[in-house]
Amino acid sequence: MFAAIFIPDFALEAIVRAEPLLRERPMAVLEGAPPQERVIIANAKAQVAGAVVGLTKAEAEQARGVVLRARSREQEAAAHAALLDCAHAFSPRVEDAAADTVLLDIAGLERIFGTPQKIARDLSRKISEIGLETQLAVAANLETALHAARGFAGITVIPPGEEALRLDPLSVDVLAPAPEILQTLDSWGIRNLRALAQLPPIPLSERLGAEGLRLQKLARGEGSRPLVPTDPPLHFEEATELEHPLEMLEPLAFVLNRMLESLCARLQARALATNELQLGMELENGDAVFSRFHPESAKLTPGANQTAQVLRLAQKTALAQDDGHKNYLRSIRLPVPMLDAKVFLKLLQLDLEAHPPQAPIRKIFLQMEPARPRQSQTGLFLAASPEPERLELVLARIAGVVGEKNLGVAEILDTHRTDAFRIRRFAPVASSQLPVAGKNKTNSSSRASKLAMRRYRPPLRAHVLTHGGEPVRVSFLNVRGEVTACAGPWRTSGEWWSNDGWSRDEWDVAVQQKNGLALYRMYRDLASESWFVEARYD
Amino acid sequence: MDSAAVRATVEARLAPRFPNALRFQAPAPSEKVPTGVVEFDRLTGGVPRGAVTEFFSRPLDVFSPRPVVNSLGRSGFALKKEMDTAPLSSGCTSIMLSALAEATGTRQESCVLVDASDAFDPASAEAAGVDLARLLWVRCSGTKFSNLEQVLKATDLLLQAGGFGMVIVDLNDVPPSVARRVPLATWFRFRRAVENTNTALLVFEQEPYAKSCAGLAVCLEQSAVSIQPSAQPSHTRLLREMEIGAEVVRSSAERKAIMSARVNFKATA
Repeated sequence: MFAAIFIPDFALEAIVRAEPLLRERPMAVLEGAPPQERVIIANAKAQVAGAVVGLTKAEAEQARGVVLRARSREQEAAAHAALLDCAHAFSPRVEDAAADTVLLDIAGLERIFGTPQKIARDLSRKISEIGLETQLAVAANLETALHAARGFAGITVIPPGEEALRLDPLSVDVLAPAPEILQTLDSWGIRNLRALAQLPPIPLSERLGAEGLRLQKLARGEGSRPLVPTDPPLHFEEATELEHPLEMLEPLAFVLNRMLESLCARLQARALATNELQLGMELENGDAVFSRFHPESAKLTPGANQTAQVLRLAQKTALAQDDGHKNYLRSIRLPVPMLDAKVFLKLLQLDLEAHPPQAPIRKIFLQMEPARPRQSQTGLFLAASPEPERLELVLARIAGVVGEKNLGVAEILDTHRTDAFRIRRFAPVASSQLPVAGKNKTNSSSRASKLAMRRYRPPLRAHVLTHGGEPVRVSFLNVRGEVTACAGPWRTSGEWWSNDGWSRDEWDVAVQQKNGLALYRMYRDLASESWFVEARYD
Repeated sequence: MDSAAVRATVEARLAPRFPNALRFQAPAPSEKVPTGVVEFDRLTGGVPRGAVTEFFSRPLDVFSPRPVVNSLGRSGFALKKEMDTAPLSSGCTSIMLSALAEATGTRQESCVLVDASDAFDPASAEAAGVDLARLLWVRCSGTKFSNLEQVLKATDLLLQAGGFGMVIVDLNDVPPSVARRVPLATWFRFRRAVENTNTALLVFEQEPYAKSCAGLAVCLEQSAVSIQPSAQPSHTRLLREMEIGAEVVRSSAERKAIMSARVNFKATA
């Protein structure tokens, strides 16, 4: 058994998928270079209002209440990819027949998804969830399913043996014959498949040749074309071209939310998650920027999803980051694969608040890198760790408060320089082993407390009185006192070959205060002959 | 009918329908986790999960009211006015690292350090046995907000997120005159946020700020310092060890605060 999915008025449906509120309104799609744009598709309400196919934009604007939208190749590509994902969620054998047509082999799926009727219903529901209205047909042969999908509205299930009977009322147009053959058939008065199927084969062959016989076979539901499965690359991207440039971040959230939900639905259909989000934006007056700077700009395919191509190329050469005024690219890497549109939206919002685009937004491009979903084995006795989705949000929020560089895990660098570390991203580490009863006690008793240091960053300049080379009195900030004991100097130096080298004498000093002793690590910088307080023992 | 009778009637009618609502439920004793300082853990049993624990370094009597007689001959009480002084070496950070080493190393929990003054020394922590990969370090360096604002915002978010075994707020270098401005409501919010969770919230500070919100309050002070004689080789390692005294001044686990419980322990260099 085969199923055929057909999306009528695909260019219009792709736009409605991006703006669902337009579904209830009269709407027409325009194509062509200004000022010669013409209506190529109009829905029923628009046709009633007077906006019919072929009108110029100026004429279509006369029709009252009709929403006019330019054809969007990006949205069509995204809708087509979403359609393929829906099909792949049901069957591994899927043929990408056309932008608006997808065929799939559903033979043998009864034990998983149920009867062909149920598969057709579920498939239709799945497609309507991604925002497309579909015509769907199931039949024993591929071409019958395809023609039934193109000819009948809603869901059509044709039992084996009834192909010819069910196809009878369809117009000859569904077979997509060559114009001259169509004209000939029309002149004979053959307008539906029943009439074509009943023509005597030999005279038909004499007049229309092999093509005539092929069309007759199709009209009788006797097609025998095999399915040619395609395995499209796993690109999960959505693009939206805005009618008016967006200047505020708040309305942008609505657009992003819709795009994220679409992408998450597509990933879910493929049983995948994502570990990286890429948000690209084309800002106002940014159209020529890429092509002017980038030598590979000639490789762009005109038309289909050009923004995505631009950003992909720009990403390769790290051009877009420097080009903040024209193209905008942000990338959010996730520590673990996730699939939660709300979390993604919040992360993008926080990132946009921290790094707002510098000009009004004209086009938005969103891409998710597919990854296998996170699999974790939890255990009753393992140490608790924060939930990754929640943790990501919290870290993003805290980064907005303290700064991205001030948040993470300290990693000590392999150098003799004191206080040398770098901050890397925090990700919960899985417990390697179960806590063993009594282990705590053993460790606690065996480990003596280590005296710790507290750093002053940057080190504090100090006034030091010395006697015989040893510090005897120290004053810095609100600390003033006699040095009751000291040890040093401990001379260290390093990286003399760079501008960042150091050479100093370190001292540990005990300074008598009113309530007790305070113990400090100090040093004398040999280059500037100045004293600094580096840390306090605590 | 007086109010007591009305109440008794209402309770009698509601008792069969909502038996648990009108019954006194004693709070379950909170689990305690060791800090790694054996003497301290023996005294207190460790720090409680689901509660705020305060470690502070100043003796309380600095803030106790003292009797005064004014120029008109009237007697009363006045608080000592203390200038913000530099914190001493009291052992707060040593205990903090010891507790972190226990949590991240032994129990393999994810922990957070909210560092108000960017004073955390990763090298000391590693030497103390802290697994740095499990420690989220939030450095509050006061760019957009003040340090204290950053600390409070970050702590709030982290406690709400949950899942951390230990959240440490280090206010040791924040002058008391600044930290005292934190409203008590903030500490109540923190207490409520950690209640019934597995998170132990530890606050290291110069004075006790959380007051009654703290489940355990411990005063730390330097008891003795053993310093290496200067005749020894001129290595900068001056300290041999420091003896730290810990006094439990508040414990919600006990019916009465253990005002006199005290323990000394040593931190070696």
